[in-house]
Amino acid sequence: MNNVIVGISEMAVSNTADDVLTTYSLGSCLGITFYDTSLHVGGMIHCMLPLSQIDAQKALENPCMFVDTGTTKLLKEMFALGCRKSSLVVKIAGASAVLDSKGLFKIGERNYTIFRKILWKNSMLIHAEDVGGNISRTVRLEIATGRVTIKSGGVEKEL
Amino acid sequence: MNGNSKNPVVNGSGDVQGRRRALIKEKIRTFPAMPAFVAQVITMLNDPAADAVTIAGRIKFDPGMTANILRLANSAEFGARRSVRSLQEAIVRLGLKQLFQLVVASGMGRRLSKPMPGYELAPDELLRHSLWAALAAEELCLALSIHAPDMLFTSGLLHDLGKLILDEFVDASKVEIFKVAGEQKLSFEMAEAAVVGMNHADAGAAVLDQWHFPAELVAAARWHHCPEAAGEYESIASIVHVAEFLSYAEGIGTGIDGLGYHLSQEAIDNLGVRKKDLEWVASHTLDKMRDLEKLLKD
Ligand SMILES: [Fe+2]
Repeated sequence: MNNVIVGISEMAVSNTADDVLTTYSLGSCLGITFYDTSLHVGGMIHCMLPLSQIDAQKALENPCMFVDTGTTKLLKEMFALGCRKSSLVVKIAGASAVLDSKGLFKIGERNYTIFRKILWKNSMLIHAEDVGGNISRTVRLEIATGRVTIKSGGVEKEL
Repeated sequence: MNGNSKNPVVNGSGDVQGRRRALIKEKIRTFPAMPAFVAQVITMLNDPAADAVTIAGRIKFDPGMTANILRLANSAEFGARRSVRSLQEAIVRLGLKQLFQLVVASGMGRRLSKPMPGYELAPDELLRHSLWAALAAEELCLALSIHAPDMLFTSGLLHDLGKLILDEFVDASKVEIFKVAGEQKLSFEMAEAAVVGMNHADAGAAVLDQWHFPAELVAAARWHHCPEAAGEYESIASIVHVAEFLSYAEGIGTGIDGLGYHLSQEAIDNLGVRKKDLEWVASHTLDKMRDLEKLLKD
């Protein structure tokens, strides 16, 4: 097994059966996985902020930082490998909240909302999700099987 | 030492709490001093009579620090048109404030890199959280167009130092802390104080005080979870508070406690922080963080 680490504002795409894509400690960030069930190609991205318009320069340098530009880029790369929308399984995790009564730090919730909008525009659906709450999550995607697991507070479960 | 006024007391456990607090105080008293070299350089930096030649004379005996200083002075951030080769020249280019930051970051880096089973932080996670908070604090000042207090970066860097003291105590009482936090709806540092007898903010401040760090920095550490109580240091404590909060929101150094703190609405209102400021700060901090981690790598 080869562990490929996806850092904050990074993405990875793989069609190597031995690879496991991993992203650690998702807080309000959104971890998105796409998996093509017929080609066994998987992609993962760890987006930090909802919309690229907050900093157009940054979005050019690093589109993976934002949910809008990041999702588009990840989809493009997967399509380039022959993936088709109809065979993509979409699973997401993260978008946690911190304890903030007035909601100034609702970055997680905004990340999630923007992602749903983008999927909706692409006529795609979320197959499974583990989002929200006050917890930090680690997500893995096995390229061989498409299995996605979430680890939080020492407990691992399949998504 | 004045304790955090928000600390609640768990009824009936006063004795146990008192015993634990005594153990913590003993650990603070015997906590290893700052690396001697760091202490010497900091003393020099605070001495108006010391110049670049004297400071370089001391730093040159530490090859790692010398390399870091030269690298930073030659980095793009300082718009290095001409490359600097001598340590003395590098010190002049950086200025005392930057030098102080770098010396503390290089000097404390190793200690903040320890894994912490109590807080469930992997090796390097506390260091990443600390660097992130320090950088985010500076970026926040930029976003809000306010003057960054001199000790801000270093305050951000050392705000959670107390976790090094409390880790073993938190490890031993984890279940209890969560129980108290849940039942009494307390934020993590309050439950920490209620169960182990002191919170990590007070523990860290006690160590920094013992090291004779400036009062501003000690106060920022002490009040970083309750900045509205910091009196004349409310501003620096508030900035560090918001910066740390953002770090947790982004999942940087989020151990068992990370998402269990309460945001101080007073800090947000007093600083005038808006949603878009936070997002701007988050994106800029990530880049600064990559540069700094590269710089401190060895
Ligand atoms: Fe803290």
